[in-house]
Amino acid sequence: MHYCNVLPKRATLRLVALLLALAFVFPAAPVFGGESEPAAATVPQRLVAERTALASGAEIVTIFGRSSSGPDSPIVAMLTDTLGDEDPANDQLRYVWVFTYCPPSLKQRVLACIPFYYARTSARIPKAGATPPIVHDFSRYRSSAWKSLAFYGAQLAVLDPAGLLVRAGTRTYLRNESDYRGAHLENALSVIQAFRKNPDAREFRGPGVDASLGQLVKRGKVGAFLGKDQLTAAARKHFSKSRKNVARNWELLRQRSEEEGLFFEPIASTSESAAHAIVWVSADEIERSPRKREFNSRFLNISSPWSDERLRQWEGYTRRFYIEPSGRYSAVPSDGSTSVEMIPLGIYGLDFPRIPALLVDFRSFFNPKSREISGRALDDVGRYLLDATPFGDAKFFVLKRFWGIFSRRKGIDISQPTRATAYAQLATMVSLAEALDPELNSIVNNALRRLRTNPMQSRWDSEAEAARTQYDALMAAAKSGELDKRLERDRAAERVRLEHGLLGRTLRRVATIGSFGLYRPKADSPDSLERYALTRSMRTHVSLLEEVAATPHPIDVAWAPEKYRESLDFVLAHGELAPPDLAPVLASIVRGSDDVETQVIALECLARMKDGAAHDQLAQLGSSLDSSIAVPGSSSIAPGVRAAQDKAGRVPVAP
Amino acid sequence: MIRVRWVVSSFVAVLLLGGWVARAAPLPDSAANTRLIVVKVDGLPQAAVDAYVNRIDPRTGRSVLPWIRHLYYESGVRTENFYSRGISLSEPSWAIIDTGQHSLVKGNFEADRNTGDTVDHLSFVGFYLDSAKSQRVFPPAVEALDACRTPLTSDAWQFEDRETGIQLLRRGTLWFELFKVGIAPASRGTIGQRVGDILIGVNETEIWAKVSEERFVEAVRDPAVRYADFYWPFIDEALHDDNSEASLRGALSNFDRMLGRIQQAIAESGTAGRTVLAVVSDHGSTYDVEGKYSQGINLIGYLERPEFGAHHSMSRGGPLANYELEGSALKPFASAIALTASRHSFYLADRPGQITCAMDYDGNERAQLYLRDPDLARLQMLWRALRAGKLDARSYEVAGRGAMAILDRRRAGWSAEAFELGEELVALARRGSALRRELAALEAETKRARPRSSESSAGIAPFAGRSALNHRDPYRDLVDRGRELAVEVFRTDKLRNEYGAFRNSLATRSKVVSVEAFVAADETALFGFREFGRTLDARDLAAYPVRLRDIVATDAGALDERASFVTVNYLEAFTGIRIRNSASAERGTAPVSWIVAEMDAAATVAALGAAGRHVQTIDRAFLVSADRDRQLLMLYRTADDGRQLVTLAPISRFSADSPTGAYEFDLAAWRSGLPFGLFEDESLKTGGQDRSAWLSAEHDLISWRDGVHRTAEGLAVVGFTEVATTAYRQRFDELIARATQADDKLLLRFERRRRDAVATDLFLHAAPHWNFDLKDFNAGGNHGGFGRSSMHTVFWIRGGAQTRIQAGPLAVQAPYDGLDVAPTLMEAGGLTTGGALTDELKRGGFRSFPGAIVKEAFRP
Repeated sequence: MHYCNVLPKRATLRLVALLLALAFVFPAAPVFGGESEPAAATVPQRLVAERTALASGAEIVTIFGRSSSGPDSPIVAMLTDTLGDEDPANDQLRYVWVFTYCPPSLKQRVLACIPFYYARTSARIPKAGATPPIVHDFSRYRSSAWKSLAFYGAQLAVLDPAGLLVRAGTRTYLRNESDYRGAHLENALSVIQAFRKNPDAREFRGPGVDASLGQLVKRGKVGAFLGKDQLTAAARKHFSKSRKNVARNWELLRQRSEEEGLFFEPIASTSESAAHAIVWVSADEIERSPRKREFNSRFLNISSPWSDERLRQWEGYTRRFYIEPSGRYSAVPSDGSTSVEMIPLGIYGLDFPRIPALLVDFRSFFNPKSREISGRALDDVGRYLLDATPFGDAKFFVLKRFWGIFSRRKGIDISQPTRATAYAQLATMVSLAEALDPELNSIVNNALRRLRTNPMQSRWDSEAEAARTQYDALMAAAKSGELDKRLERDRAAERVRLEHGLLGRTLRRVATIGSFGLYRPKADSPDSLERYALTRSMRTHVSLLEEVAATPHPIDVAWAPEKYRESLDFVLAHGELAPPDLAPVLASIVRGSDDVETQVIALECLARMKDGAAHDQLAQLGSSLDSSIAVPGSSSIAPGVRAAQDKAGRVPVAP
Repeated sequence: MIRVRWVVSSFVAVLLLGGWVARAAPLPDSAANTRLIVVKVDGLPQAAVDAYVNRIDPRTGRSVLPWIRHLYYESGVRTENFYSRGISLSEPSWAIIDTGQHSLVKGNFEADRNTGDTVDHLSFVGFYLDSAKSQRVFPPAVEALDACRTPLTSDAWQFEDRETGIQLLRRGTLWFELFKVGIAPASRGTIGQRVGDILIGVNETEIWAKVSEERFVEAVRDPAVRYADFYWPFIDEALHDDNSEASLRGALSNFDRMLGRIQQAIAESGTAGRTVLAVVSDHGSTYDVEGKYSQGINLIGYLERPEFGAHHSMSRGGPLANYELEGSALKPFASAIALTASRHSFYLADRPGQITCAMDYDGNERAQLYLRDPDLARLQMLWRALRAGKLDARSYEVAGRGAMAILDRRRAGWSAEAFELGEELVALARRGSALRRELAALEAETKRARPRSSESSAGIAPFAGRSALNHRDPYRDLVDRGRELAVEVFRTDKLRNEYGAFRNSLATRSKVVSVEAFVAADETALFGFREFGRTLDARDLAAYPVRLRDIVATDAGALDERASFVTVNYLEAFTGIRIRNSASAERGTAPVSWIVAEMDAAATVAALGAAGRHVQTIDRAFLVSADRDRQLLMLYRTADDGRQLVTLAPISRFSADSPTGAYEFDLAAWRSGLPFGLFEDESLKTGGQDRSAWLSAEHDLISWRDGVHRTAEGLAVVGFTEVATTAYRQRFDELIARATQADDKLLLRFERRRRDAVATDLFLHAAPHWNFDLKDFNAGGNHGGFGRSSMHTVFWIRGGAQTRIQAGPLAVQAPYDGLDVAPTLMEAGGLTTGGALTDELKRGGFRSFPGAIVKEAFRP
């Protein structure tokens, strides 16, 4: 059967018109009912950690959102592989679980293949005892990135030319999956970043953590090209941008609310700073204002409250606020303040590029939903109705790009990036039931339920339940040894990579597959296990020495020698495992340190390293250092250096 | 054609400048050959440094800011109480620091009241675009300084001996550096690194920092370079965006490491013994240490409102400019000046280009307002009413009389101004012709002087060349002089056109002698679109006409101006703003803390006398008002020895409502809650004297500074004095007196007129943690005001064994400010001894500095 890839023009246009109409219509159905209750003061969220040790030498750190009205809610967990020893240098972050992330069901996966399907499915609770999936594996970052890249290539070369159905289905699925996973990972990132300020967050403050978090920031294909420094830069840039977005949007929303006679209330959450806000209108002011009172909806993106008859007869949720004698609105009463009933108009996410993102419109549930799907709808129309491709139909993509630049610059909330992360953060807050009073919490919960636009998403309340179920399953897996097995498999794979080159690994695999599993490589020897642990430690020590060497000279201004002496001693003891690019680092330390003992040890490290690069550095140092320092192998050793060596109990190293 | 040739020549010259600089031979180590390296860091609060420098990083075992600690806390000299002079704003502050002279540049954005021409001193892109079009060779602020014959400190070294980095006040451009910034992402590191950098998003800030630092470090390493400076804007940027600890600490750490690299470069140059390394900043920052946001208001939005006069406004960028297409990829070269027309305009709804208000503000803690001459506003309202044809005969007659009364009372002034301007424009025309002749001659001379490799030419002595760049190389001197001349020709023509139109406007108005002629005149000929007219005083601001209510006659049949026009009291309007959405009770709801307006000195003396306080004479007076009950007078007098003396007097209920226009107010006692908060501030140092007595007494600025510098806002006394200073007039007067040619006198008078024309009418000071937002939102830290946190910044200095700087560590407690930097640096750099300028320096335009040398920093 031949599938025509191009729809008749008129039908295309009608369908586009219908979709656009659906996308941008604002039905007048009120969303909420409920009686007003006295205001509950909003309480800042608290994050706490729980640590679970594994028998194989690892620790799971689970971050919970503390709830005063119910059980604490698990949000994210990370496993640190400690090898079961006391040496923190060989610790390694391994796995990330995000408990609100449920692996989609078959039904969800099928629906996720359908373009223009912008709705959630029913509740999805994972089976009790089913170990939650690892959402990110730090040690497989690069291979995952290459796999993504390879799949992307296959998408372009094989799937896209296979016809509209295949192309649309696969691309839509991948986008939904990426958005779904991405939203939860972003939420986890913001929780981890907030938790890092906690005094208990020792695992999240080490020097390599930013690079690890950078992997979460730069997921997908690009990861294949990013080095450690770039991942660190990406993470820092991400958090910095997030803070700036929140700061800017906070002010933007506050000032817009002020200009339109509304009230702005930030909501504390699990992020570093309040990343959401509610905008309210005074019921009294509605009464007093003429229906034709001017209202500029720019950046607020809601309809005028002054001309809305529903608000003039409002019987829905209200909350009491207070006007201080100075005219300032406040959530708490004070001397001389008068109370005023406020009606909620909208909830906004502040951690969003350029503008505050409308998440909940209390008068129109479809308003935020239509904005959320507008970008996707535009993409889907272009790709699947107009059958446009970037190279074949450049005009469409140029226009789309132009629209993107225009709408971003002007802050028009159409075709903006997905606000899935802002929703995920709000959902977390709502599930903890801390930031909003119970009735409002329930109303928002209901609203959020209807606002999902991704078939892979479940209902909010089911996600909270799923989180608890998945956490319990993870703990069970930790206790039963399942996680230990997984960890050991991954360690073994790393040891194989360490011990064998590409050819060796390929031959081993061929042998295992060819013998249908009969051939099993020998178990790792104690030497191999030790080498593996030492190699991991070496990475940490090398990283520290690189950081030290990059400091302006003299190094001792910024680094006390004892703070990196341990790393030098390690390299000295295990120089044969040191990478060749450590040689210039050590040479820089020799040149840059004023501490003779440090210089001597660094020189000895170079001598210990058995490669040409180290020898070259030694040769250069021999000609450039002053005579007070002895280069190993050189005949002149100044008394000061000898004394330092004696004090250190060292014997000069022979070349 | 000449212009094209000069563009090509200048391009070649720039390439040569970028790649080939003739340096003098290395000089031996000695005090006479001192090298001066200056790091100019924008917006570094001393308090932020203090908060971190003593914190130990457990990872490193050293300070969180190890290099700052090593260089200036464990050795070296730092002034613990160093402040901005004037407003804590970049351009005016750097202009003072870089010249050592009183404030000439008054804000980051200046508008010429006569022509409406505007200058955005922070528009780096604007300057480079103008330079590419041969319309500028130096930034506008440097042009203004040159017009007043005020050199930059860096000018003291010949071009070949100095290296100045990209910064706000700098001679020339660095196109090659910009080019390097542009290609840096694709040209640095391995292929993988380059691809990765592009994938994570090019960080222009980092690249900029790297490229400009590389150039600076190269200069520092070169022993022949005797002066090098480097501008570091990233702390200010970081604080504005978000004042979280992560952001601030990150910015400070980067700066600290950069200092370390500079110090390393000094060591590697082999000249550590004779090198002075100074760090200076233009202002601090007011930010919340817990990361709470600063709150802003949109002032232009208020000015659009009927109750504020419904003005058509002009500003730099404009509110929410970062959400408009101008300046984006879709409109990259659009004007940076924003014109905001009010929908509610009372009489100019059909003329949105008629600007009635301009605002100098930049998203920080202060704003300065230009308002149109109220007589021009009244005249235009009357003109429109008379032309509309809706007045009855009686009203028409009264309105006509009213217009003529205004014209008659201003005629003499306008005529005189038109006449003087006419003389100046003729001189300008002659100057233009002379410049063209000089340019032609220079072109020929430059061709003849082209150097051949076999020849070596004698160097030019300092300040003996023709170019402002103080070259030693004669050929380069000619080339750069040619570029400067070409730009001078352009600017002369431009000024002639702009001021010519202004003069015509003055002349047209002054020649109208009948109602018929008035009504028949063209509106644009009478009222230039951006002509603001004279500066306003407190009387004008207390009753600024915004709308013609009705034509009301006095008993004598004249127009009753008070009854006929609806007015706005700007002395109370802004301080009366209240914001409901204020994040915390401590922030309060009043974003504008106080305003300042100039008063008529004679009327002030008379009013003081009527209130029971007799003063002999004052030169100038200003009203500082928080509200009707909390006001201060600032009274200025010049002592016989030239010192400026300032007296503060608390008053209340200032008004200028009386039919005679006389001021009226009540004298008040010193108490808490007055502007500047001096009475209740425990940090006020009165030397044991009674607080009220000390505050009421007349003091010079040094005494004021010594007494108030630790208070929360008391530096406003010294700071505002600097804002309002007209010391530049004395400089122009001296130059006019010294000039021998009539045309030179006229041209200097013209430049003085242009400087006078940037004076503003109303100064607004934000409350703590409030700001006046502009293109975007400054939710982080802010500055610009007189709060101590915004004014308190850094000036550190250290020198090698052969320099005269103390080894330290020394923390100087005496207060110093921006005026004291230039004399100190020139002394440290070995150019002056005991502050005495050499004849050479005087030949270069340097004159005695009003500020002091930080004597504590020098060995006895």
